[in-house]
Amino acid sequence: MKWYPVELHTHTEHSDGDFTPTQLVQAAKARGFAGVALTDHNTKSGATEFNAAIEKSGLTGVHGIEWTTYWGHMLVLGEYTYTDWRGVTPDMIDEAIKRIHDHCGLVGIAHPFALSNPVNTGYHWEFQIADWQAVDFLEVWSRDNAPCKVQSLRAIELWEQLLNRGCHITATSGRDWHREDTRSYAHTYVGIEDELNEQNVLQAIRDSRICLAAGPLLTMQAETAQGPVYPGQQTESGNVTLKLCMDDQTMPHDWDRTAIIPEKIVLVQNGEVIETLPVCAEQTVTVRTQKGWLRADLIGRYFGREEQRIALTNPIWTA
Amino acid sequence: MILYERHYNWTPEDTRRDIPFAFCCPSNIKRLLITFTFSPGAEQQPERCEMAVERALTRYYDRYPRDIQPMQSEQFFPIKNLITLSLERDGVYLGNAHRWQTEQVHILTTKHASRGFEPPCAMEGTWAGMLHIHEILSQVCEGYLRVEGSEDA
Repeated sequence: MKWYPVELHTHTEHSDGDFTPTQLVQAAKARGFAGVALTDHNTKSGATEFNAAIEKSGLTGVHGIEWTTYWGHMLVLGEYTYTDWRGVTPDMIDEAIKRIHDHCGLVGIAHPFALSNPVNTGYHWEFQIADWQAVDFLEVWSRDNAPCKVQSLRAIELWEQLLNRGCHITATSGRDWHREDTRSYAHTYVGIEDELNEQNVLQAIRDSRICLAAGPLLTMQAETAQGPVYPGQQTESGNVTLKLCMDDQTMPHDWDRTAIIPEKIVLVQNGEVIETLPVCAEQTVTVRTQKGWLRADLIGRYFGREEQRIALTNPIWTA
Repeated sequence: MILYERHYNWTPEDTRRDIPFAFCCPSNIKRLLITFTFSPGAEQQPERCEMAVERALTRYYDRYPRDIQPMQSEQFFPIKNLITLSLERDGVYLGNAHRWQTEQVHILTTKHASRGFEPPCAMEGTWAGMLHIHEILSQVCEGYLRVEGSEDA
C-alpha cells in the first residue's frame, strides 16, 4: 500500500479563489501533492483548464464541486454531471445525495462546525440527514491550524458518534484552498495499491483508506493470516496485531518540523484510548479489541500547544 | 436589446432567499451581457456587526471554552453582504458566479463564458436564473440586474 498526499477541497477564480486552475495545479505540485481536486463553489466551469493543467503536471486530478448552500457546504467528487443544488432544503438532502450517487459521485460534508453566518455564509451544516450511512466522507479538519480548532473537536466528536452507530464514514482534511499563504495546513493521504488515478482516489475515499496528518504521517494496518487489513476494512475482534508506521519525511516543504513534534501514539477503540505507545518509525503491537472500530492517533506538540492530535488514521473495523 | 431589467430592495429578512428571474433569448442574439450590482457591499456599523458575529461565535464554541481558540468579534468587521447569481438555459444548469464583487458583468456566447459559467450550446431559448441571497446584514441593500442581448458575438 502506498500513501499519496491529495488535496480534496480547493477553489479558483471560477468562484472566490485567487488561483487560475493552472496556478492551482502548479501550487499543488510545488507543495508536493500527488493529486488535487477542483471543487469550486457551485460550478465546474474551470474543468477544461484544470484538465489541461493536470495533463501537463503529471498529478492526478479529481473533478468536483462544492455545493454552497444556505444550509451547509457539501463536497461532491467524481460526479459525471450536475445535480442541481438550488432549492434543496434541509429535509431534501437524502434525496439529493441519492441522485449524486446515481451519477457515480461521492459526497462529503465540508467544515460542518465552522464559524458560519454572517462571517462565512452557510458553513455550519444544518441539512437534516436521515441516512448517515449514505454520506461518504466528513471533513473533520478544515483550513489552517486544524488540530487546535474547536470546529475540529466538534467534527471529530460527530464522526466518533457516527462510527459508534456503525456508519462507515471516512474522515478527511480539507485545505479549502483559495490562495497561497504561509499558514500551517494538514494533509489527506489516500492508500492505493495500484495506479494512482482519479477512480482509485475516489475508491480510497469510499473505502476509508485515508490517513490525516498535520505533520508526520501515521499509518496503521492489522496483520492477519489472510494478509494486511487497512483502515476501512474489517478484521475479527479479540487479539489484533497492528503495524504502525510514522513517516516524518512526507511533504518535506509543507510543514514545520520545528513546531510540530510527535510525542506518543494512542490507539482509540470505540472512542476510548486503549493503548499508549512510544513514537518510532515502525512498530508492531498486539492489543485486545472488542467489536467496533479501532483508530490510531499521533499526539504531540503543535506550535507550542501540548497534547494535540497531529495525525490520525481512519478506523479498522473489528467484528 | 434589453432582455431583462429589474431593481431590487432587500433587507436582512431576505437572507437565505432565492430570487428567480427568466427571459427569452431570440434567435438573432449571439451574446448576452449580464450586469448585476448591489449596494452596500458590507455592513459598516459596528453595533449591527457585533450582535450578529457574537451570535455566530456562541454557536461556534457551543459548550467548548473560548480560550481553546480565542476570537474577537471585531476581527471580522465589516461584515460583507453576499448575493450570487446562477444561470440555466432550457433547463441546463450553466453555473454560478459565487464571488464577493458588488459590481459584476458576465458575458456568455456559445464559445465563451465568464468565469463561473459554462458556455451554452445555443443562445436562443428560455433562460432562467436566480439571485441567491446568502447574507444581508445591512438594513437595506439595493440590487440591480440587467440582461442585454447583442447580435454581435
